[in-house]
Amino acid sequence: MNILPMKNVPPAATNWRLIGIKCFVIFHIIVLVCCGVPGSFPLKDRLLQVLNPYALRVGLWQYWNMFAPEPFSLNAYLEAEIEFADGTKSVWSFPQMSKMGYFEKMCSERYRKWAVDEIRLDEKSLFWADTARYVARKAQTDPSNPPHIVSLRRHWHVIEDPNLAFVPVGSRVLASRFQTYRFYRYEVHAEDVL
Amino acid sequence: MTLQAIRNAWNDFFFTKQPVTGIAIFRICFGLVLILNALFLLAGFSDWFGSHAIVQYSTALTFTGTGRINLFSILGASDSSAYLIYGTHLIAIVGLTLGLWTRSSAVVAFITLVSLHHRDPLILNSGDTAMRVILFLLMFSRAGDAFSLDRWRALKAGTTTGPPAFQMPWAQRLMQIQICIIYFSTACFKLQGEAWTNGTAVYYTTRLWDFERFPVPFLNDSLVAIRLMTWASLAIECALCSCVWVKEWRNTVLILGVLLHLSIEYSMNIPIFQWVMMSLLVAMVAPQDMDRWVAGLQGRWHALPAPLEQPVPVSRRRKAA
Repeated sequence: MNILPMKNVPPAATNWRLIGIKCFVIFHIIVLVCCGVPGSFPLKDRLLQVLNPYALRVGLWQYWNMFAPEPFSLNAYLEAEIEFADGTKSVWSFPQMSKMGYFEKMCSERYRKWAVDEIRLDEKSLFWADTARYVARKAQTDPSNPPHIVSLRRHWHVIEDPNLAFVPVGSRVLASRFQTYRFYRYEVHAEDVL
Repeated sequence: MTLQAIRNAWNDFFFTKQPVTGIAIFRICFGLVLILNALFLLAGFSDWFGSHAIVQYSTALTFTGTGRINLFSILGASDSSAYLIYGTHLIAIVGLTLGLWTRSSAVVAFITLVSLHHRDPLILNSGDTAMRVILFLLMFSRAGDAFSLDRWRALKAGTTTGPPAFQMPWAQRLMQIQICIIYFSTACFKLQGEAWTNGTAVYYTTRLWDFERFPVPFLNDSLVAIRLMTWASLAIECALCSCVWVKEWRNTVLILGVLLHLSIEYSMNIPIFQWVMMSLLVAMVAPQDMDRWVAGLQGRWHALPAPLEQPVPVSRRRKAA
């Protein structure tokens, strides 16, 4: 193997530099393995307690459960019902990929991620008020008739086991077969729509 | 096996100097993906990062906690700071791709990317995670030593001559370990799922309306084909974290990995992620192999610009050494 000497670096400094690099390498192998490898076992959990603050601060946190352990088995979308000050109502649809063209879909994927993968879930209730405020701002067209109540609704349809009911690819389910649940209601304040 | 043998293998793996051609080509591929990602971020930019973003900065802080690398905490969560961070990120990743002040560009690109990620963690997918972690490791590599404006400037100024010197590949090795962790982790998760083991996972993923892209009518309408595709993708992911280390199998496994990602890219709307992963596979190619291919390409077509790079074939380097 071809080993060339480092230029302009005295041997002692090279040694210290190498020792530093080796420590860095070992430390980061442990960080990457502990943060990236799934499962819970005592040694990993104990190391994570120590390493997590570093990984989180620096940005080395990671999850690799894409479509796993089970792939999504439902088609879902969100809607917001807006009740205005005069009592009228309207429905605001969150961006839906299935209604977009090829390029628009590519550019808007993060809206799907935000709405369907995150806001839809009860674990992300922290973000529901922000979402309702965003919808209120979007829905505000007439300053004399501002949004008063924003309700967030999720709609979903479960994809059945193909061994029980095989659906050809590209088939669409009637809207009536979707289940609906209102999961959040927000009373809009004047400062929310400024 | 003795302790000395393990130590030697460790040192050989991380610290025996290697050609820098591979990491330089990876830098360019990865940089292009970063640019593509940055351009996609423009769609809905103010919704994600602006002063009236969907997720308020205070909510994001409650979710992520304080003390993380986040330029918004210094500059404030205004429109102007969002555009400043984004603009700086764009300049840095273009610099990184061109190899202009490569290491500084990588550091700036990383800090700005992490800041954007910490501003709105709800819109991040696995591709974002991979970009962030790999960019961190790329900061420590010698990716600017070849195919870069840095090298061109050094050649022009006379501060360097001849082909790029071999360098210790420890940063690239860390990237390779990280890439294997990605495939190992996702394969482990999938092996715990019933749909992946009974072969119906691809059925579900192809019935998700939001992910539809171009049609694959015959294969996706046959349960036998669906099972084969499910198990094949699982097998390739397992190979990408294991067989890829076997020298004789590495390039075959990498080609299978590229085919897997291309097929997903064709059929499913998961922007950027497949391109991130394919660019990462470039970092898995053995540095000597990459060096040999580039030298071969240059010899055959003279396609590479001479002022930027003049790689010497490995055989000639050995003779010279």
